[in-house]
Parts: sequence; structure tokens; C-alpha cells
Amino acid sequence: MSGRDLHRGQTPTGGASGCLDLQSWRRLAAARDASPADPPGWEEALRHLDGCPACRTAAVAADPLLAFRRLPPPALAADEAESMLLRVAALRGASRVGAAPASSGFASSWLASQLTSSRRLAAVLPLRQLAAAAVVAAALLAGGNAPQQAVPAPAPLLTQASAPAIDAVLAAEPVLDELDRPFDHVVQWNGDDLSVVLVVDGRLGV
Amino acid sequence: MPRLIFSERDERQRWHASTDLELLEGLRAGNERALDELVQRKTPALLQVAFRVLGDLEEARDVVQVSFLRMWEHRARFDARWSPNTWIYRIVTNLSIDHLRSRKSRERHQEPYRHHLRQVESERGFSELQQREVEAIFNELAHGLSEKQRLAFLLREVEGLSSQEVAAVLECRESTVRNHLFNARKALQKEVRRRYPEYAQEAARYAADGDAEVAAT
Repeated sequence: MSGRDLHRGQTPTGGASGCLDLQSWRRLAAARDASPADPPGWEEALRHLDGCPACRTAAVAADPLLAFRRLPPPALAADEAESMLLRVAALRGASRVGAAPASSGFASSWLASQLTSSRRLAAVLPLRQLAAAAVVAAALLAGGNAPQQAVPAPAPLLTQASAPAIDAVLAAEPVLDELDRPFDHVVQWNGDDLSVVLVVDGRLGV
Repeated sequence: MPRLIFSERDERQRWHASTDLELLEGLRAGNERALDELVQRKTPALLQVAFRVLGDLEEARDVVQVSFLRMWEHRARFDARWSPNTWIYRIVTNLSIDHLRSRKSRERHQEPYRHHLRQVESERGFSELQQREVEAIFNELAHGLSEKQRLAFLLREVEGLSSQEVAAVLECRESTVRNHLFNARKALQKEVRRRYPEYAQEAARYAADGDAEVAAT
């Protein structure tokens, strides 16, 4: 490094472009080191420095700690925000399950475990299968205008006895709230004796 | 006729266009999509702050993850009169400090930096260090500061927040922030001279060259 690296085209006290020379930076830095209060002109000088890489050499020579100003962000992955979204969702799911009261019935705990594992399922099942499964599940759970007896049991776990318990869980905790991540929109179709709710993954282009 | 009763895409677009304050108000109302948008929007900036405090990106990720959960769980405490960033930064910095206190392996992180930096210095000289190396030096030196000094320096000097904003994040007076900053600068300057004398000499040499050029013109 040499004096030739100095930023050119400025007056000693800062020219029209707002650049400061070494002497000015040193004056400001010395004043700053002498008192906790920022010296007059310091804020403006920093604002200029943030947008003027050419002033950086002189500024850092006057105050080495200015090298730490506006350090570049850490090297983040391109999908950092997306993976954080999943991490937060997983943590929320875990904390919700952990906070579930011990007196919860079998149906609600079964449902909670199914809901919180939806993201694990998403990782291993192809999208179309998952969407199809969701559509079937939503149609079965919606019930709508149909009498309860008309809904076929989808699995041995869903007995007639547990149906009211599931209704109570659904009323207290909406299913869509849990299924929304991989899906895009919901469409409802009301027939004469049956309501069908379609939960559609937008990536399928439906 | 089928009827659209909910569209995730529309919801996301709506929140994407909202301000930080609107997001936090949505969060306070319990809207999970507001939380999603907040995560998308703030993750890079918060990771940077946590990383500067902790010096480790993976630990920073853990802290930011918990911070978002904390924001969700304590959403009712947000007051719309506050600056959204102040509230968010306060949560992240507090959790980062808690994490730092509980960390037992601080030396494990410092020693490799020190070793690496000495190698780099001997090869190229301090003035040619790349930004990443300057960052590593900051991480090393900042460990010598008290928590408040470190946070004041980090938020004010590295992140560029105003003294007023730093005071709000640290929940102290502006004059206290200035004092923390003043002491942090003294300590860091001393450490730079002690650990990196080449750096101080280089800066002095550059200053002398500059003086000579000014005199010649």
C-alpha cells in the first residue's frame, strides 16, 4: 500500500463529492477517540464511507477499527430463508406437541402425531401421492351435509366412537392450519348430500 | 359449482407486500403466514447479527430459529409503538448472549482463527487481508469485550444502527451506549496493536506516505 492509493479529486476538507482526505479522517478519528460523543461531521463521514469504497483506504488508515464497519454478511445458502422456514415450523410443531395436555384423548393425540409428521411425509412421498392423500383425507373429514354414518372409516383407528372426539379436535384446531405448507389453495364443492373439500398443491398446476 | 375458499398464494402475496409493522401486527393477531413472511424477510439480517455475536454460523442458525419461535410465542407482547426492528433485534441479541454464556467451547472457536490469521499475516501483510479475514479478526477480538460493549460495537459500528436504535435494543440510555462504544473502541484498538502490530505499522506507514504526498503538492 502507498500514498498513491489515496482517493484523488478531493479538497483537504472534503470536496463536492463528499470525499474526505486522510488528514480529515485523522482529525475526525482523533476527536472520536477523545470523547464518547461523536464529533461533528462523523455521522456524515460514515454515511459517505458506506457508499464510497475509494475513501475506505484513507479511513481505515486513520481509524483501523473502521475496517470492521459493514462487514459482508456471512456466506449464506441460497435457500437459507426457506430452510429457516422449515426449521421454525418443525420447532413450532415440536413445542406444540410437547405442550399438549396429558389428558388428551387417543384420537386427538393420533391426529396431532399425523399432523406434525406431515412434513416428514412430504419429504418422502411424491407430490402427487401426497396431494391425492390430502384430498381423500379432507373429503373424508369434511363430512358436510352427509350423515356421520355415511362416512366410511378410512382406517381401523377411526372408529365410530372416536369420530366425535375428532370433530372436537378439528373445531379446536383447524386442519388447514397444519396442512397449509405444501398446499396452495382450497376449493369446496357442496353436493346434495355431500360436501367435498379439495386441498390442492399449487405445483401440480391444477 | 366449486368455490375457492382459501388461497395460500394470495395470502403470501398479500403479506409479501406488507410493511414490517403490518407483519408484526399480523403476527400479534396470530396469523401464521405473517410469521412465514417475517422468517423469509428477516432471516439473512438476523443470521448476520447472531453470527457476529457467536462467531459460528450453525449456532447462529439455531439461535435465529429459536428467536422466531420466541417472537411467535410472545407475539402478544409486541407494541405497535415500537420499531419492529428494535423488538426483533432485541430478541435475537438477548438469545445470542444467553447462548454465548452457556457455550463451553469458546476456546475451540478462537484458536483456529488465531492460527489461520498468523499464517495469513506472514504471507501477505495485514493490509491485503480479504473481508472474510477481517471478519475472522473481528470475531476473535470481540471475544475480549464485555457483552454490552460487544453488542454496542456490533450494532452501531458493524451493522450501522443509530445510537438511538442501539439504546432501544439494549434497553439502556443513549449515553450508556456511547460509553460502551467508547470503551469497546479503546479495548479493540489496544488489542489490534498488541496482536497485530503489523497492522498498526502499516496504517502508520500509509499515513506517513499520505502526509508526504500532501506536503509535495
